[in-house]
Amino acid sequence: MNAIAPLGVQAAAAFSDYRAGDRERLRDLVALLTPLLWHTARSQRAPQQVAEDAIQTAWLRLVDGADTITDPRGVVSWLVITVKRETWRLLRLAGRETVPDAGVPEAVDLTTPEDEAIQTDQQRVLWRHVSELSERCRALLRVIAFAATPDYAGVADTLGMPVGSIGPTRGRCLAKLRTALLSDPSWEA
Amino acid sequence: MADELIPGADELLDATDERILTHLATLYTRIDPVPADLLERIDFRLAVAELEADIAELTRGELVGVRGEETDSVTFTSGSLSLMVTTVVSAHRARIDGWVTSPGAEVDAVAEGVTRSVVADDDGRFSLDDVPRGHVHFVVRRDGYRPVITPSMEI
Repeated sequence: MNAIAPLGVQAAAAFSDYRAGDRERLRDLVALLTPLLWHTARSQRAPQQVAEDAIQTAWLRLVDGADTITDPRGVVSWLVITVKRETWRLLRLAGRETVPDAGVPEAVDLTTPEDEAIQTDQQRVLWRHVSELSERCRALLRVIAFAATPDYAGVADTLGMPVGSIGPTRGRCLAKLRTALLSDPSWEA
Repeated sequence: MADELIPGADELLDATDERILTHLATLYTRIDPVPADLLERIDFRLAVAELEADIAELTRGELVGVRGEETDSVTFTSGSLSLMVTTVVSAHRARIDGWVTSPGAEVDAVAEGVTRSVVADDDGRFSLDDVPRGHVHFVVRRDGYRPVITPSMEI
């Protein structure tokens, strides 16, 4: 798996190529980062439409202001932050005006272990332990999971993950989940 | 947030953490997948923004579910411009025959990963070979006008 470059590195390369005039690389960047951005927005309790709008807006702003990002390595952080802020803005807006469903987030977070989407026992065990974490921890881990291996250094700070002097540390949320899983005999990852 | 002491919180990530996070990503992908056509919609919005293009409307035909060998023609219109296309598909590739109301216009077929370009002849006819199957949209460029972009269709 070492052949796969870290997300931040792949993103920086695609973004640099795009700025140098290779339009196709923008599509690569969109394909690469949209899952992360989707789960960033959804972890903030955004309904599907809000999440989509926030992500679209972030991409449009990136294209608009592509030259203002001085370091291509910052593109992932920039997008994550922009999606978060835009999600919050849209949610506030929806809360003020009486948009249907305002304040009633879709039940992403309330999925029960019986949910048919959860297929394996492994996933059921994982979900049970994840559900016992605080909402803040669930949101954090959900996003970090999509920042993906093998290193998080580029985005860890943005994602709210502690970064020690030599790299991102596990942090309290992941440490809690890990301890819970490893002490559960039905978890055998 | 009280600073509870959590054993191991200060340690660097290891292979076990990576595995847990990978499982977590798989789990969330199942529970709440990215909508199937979101990438397509983002690409389209970005293309429109980048080109400062006018968006053509579908005025005849179907954009999705075309799986026969030869499609009925599909027509897009924006202002005075109309673009009509017919596709003939084989296993992975398609040929697109078209006609545009502006002779000499440049027509791009933008498929996933590739763009094929052609200049319409004096009658506005054009043909594009070897377009990969999947989603494709068209961009028409004429002197003195903004580019026109069509919604994407499935071929």
